[in-house]
Formats: sequence, C-alpha cells, structure tokens
Amino acid sequence: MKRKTFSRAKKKKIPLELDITSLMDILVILLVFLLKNFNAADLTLDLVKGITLPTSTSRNLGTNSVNIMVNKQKEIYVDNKLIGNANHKSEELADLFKALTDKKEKYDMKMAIKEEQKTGRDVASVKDHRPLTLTKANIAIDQNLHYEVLRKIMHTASLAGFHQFKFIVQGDYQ
Amino acid sequence: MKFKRKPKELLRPNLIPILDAVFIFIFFLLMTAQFIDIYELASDAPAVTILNKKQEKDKDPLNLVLLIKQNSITLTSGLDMNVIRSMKKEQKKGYNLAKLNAALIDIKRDNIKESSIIFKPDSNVPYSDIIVLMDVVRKVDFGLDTISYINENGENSTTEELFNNIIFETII
Repeated sequence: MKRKTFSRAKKKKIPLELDITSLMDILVILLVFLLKNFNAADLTLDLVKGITLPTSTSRNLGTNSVNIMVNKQKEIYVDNKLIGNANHKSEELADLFKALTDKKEKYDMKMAIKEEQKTGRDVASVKDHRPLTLTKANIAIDQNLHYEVLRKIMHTASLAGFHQFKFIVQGDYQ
Repeated sequence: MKFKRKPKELLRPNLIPILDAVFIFIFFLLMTAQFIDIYELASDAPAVTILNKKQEKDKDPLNLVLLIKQNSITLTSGLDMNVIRSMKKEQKKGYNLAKLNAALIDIKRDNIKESSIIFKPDSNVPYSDIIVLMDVVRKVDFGLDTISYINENGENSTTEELFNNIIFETII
C-alpha cells in the first residue's frame, strides 16, 4: 500500500497589513482636543473636594507657590493637606499660621542650603542675610463663602510673612 | 503599436515614525492636562509708604476706595473719602458694573499714572462678588476698548488698564 503523503507546497508569507486609518482618525481628534485644552501655566492645582472657583476674565497664568484652599465647609487645606477650619471667631487662624510658617522655614532652609552649595558660605549666615523669597500665596476659595473667610486667610497669611496674594479663579468664556 | 500599461503601484507612506511621535505627544498632553482653566488675580497686603515732600506738594493722593456692602457699592476718593458714585445692588442684575466701569474710566483719565485702588468689603459680601468687582476695576470694559492719553514725551498713547493694583484694606 502506498503511503499517503501530505506534501504541502510552501505558501509565500504575505506581510500582514493593518488598516490604521480609523486609529489615526481617533488620534488626530484626541490630539486636537488635548492641544485645545493645553494650559501653559506653571501652576498645577489639584482642587480639594467642595470647592467651586469663581469665574473671572483674568488671563494671568498662575505660578507655583504655597496653595491655600478653603472649601464650602470652611475646611482649610495647605498644599492639599487638611490643617483646620476657618470657623474660629478670632481673626488669626492658629493652625494656618503654623502651617505657613513651617512651609516658609522649610523653603528658606532649602534655599539656604542651595546657596551654600553654590557659594560655599555656611547655612546660618546665608539664612540670616538672604531676603525672604517665599512671599506669595495662592488662595483658592469656594465662590459661595463670604469675605470674612478671605479676610481671615489673608490676615493670617500676612502675619506669617506672605504679602502677595493670588486668587485662583477659573476662566470665563462669555 | 499598443503598449501594455503597467498597473500603478499604490504609494504607501511609512506612518510608523509619525505615529510614534503622535503617541508620545498625546501622552505628554494627557499627563499635563488640566480640565479647568485656572488663572490668577493678584492682590497685595497693605504696606505703608512714605510720601516725600515734593510728591505731597504736587498733588494730593488719589486714595481711591471702593466700599463694598452686600446691597451697595460706593466709590470714594481723597483723604476725606469724598463720595464719587454710589450704586445699589439690584436683586436680579446685581451691581451696576457698567456704571462703575464708566466712573473709573473718568477717574483714570484724570489720574493716568495711578494704578491702585483700595477694596473695603463688608464681612458678609460673597467672595464671587469681590472677584467680579476686581475684574471691573482692572480693565476698560463695556464697549470702550482703550483710554487715550498724552504720555510724558508728548506722544499719543493708549491703555486698557484701569486700577490693576488692588489692595484689601481690612486685612491687617
């Protein structure tokens, strides 16, 4: 009996061609959408829950600094960390003051060490002679709160050495 | 004599490098995307400045103050706080911003170098109202584009800025 052999002729391999037209369409749409939303601001703010920013016609781009946020419940956050609330009767908010002075001290020390590495002067003398540089505070407050809260925040911040306030607002496209 | 036409070969551009670039670009944009457009409005804490004698003789300080109450706003100037304009807040329309802007344009024309205004809001004024008023005092708005004036060199010049330096009086 003759043995049946399966002799298969070797097929030529044809390179697989993927139709990427639809993928390209999606990518182009996504690219246009993302480009339109691109904000060149140095400031990236991760808003805490319960804050609706007021709208403004301002087009000044924000810069990074200490971020103070107050939500509807009057809870105060410094750089996204809950530090207390603004329900106190007194004008000075002790928790905020402490948090801001800590931030300032840390920043000053960091800058002094950098300066020391650059110039070779010791940290203590650099820190004493260098003008304080962290004087700006970004303030993001819920639009429904009253001026009383803003006043307390600004008052406390200025006592802690921050005398430039940047109110964070969202763009108004009317 | 008939020539046999060669079938045209379909030209296929190599899209791989451009796709690579687009992918990287998309990742970069996705990582930096912020879906709320955030801007800032600046204000400084009040500071004491000492006027020298020459400045004092030349002109009285403008001392422009905006008193903001829940139901009205009052614009005053001078050390005696002379009332320039007072406006009530309407229930539906809110503050009359066009009127305030017009009053500020008139003041700016007479005091072109001045750029400061003091805000004195009451405790119960909503923060959103303060931001609206800050917008109005900062720039020429409501139909008028710019303010024309003659600068120090005697040339015609224009500006669209009103009182950019906003100071809150009651914070210290």
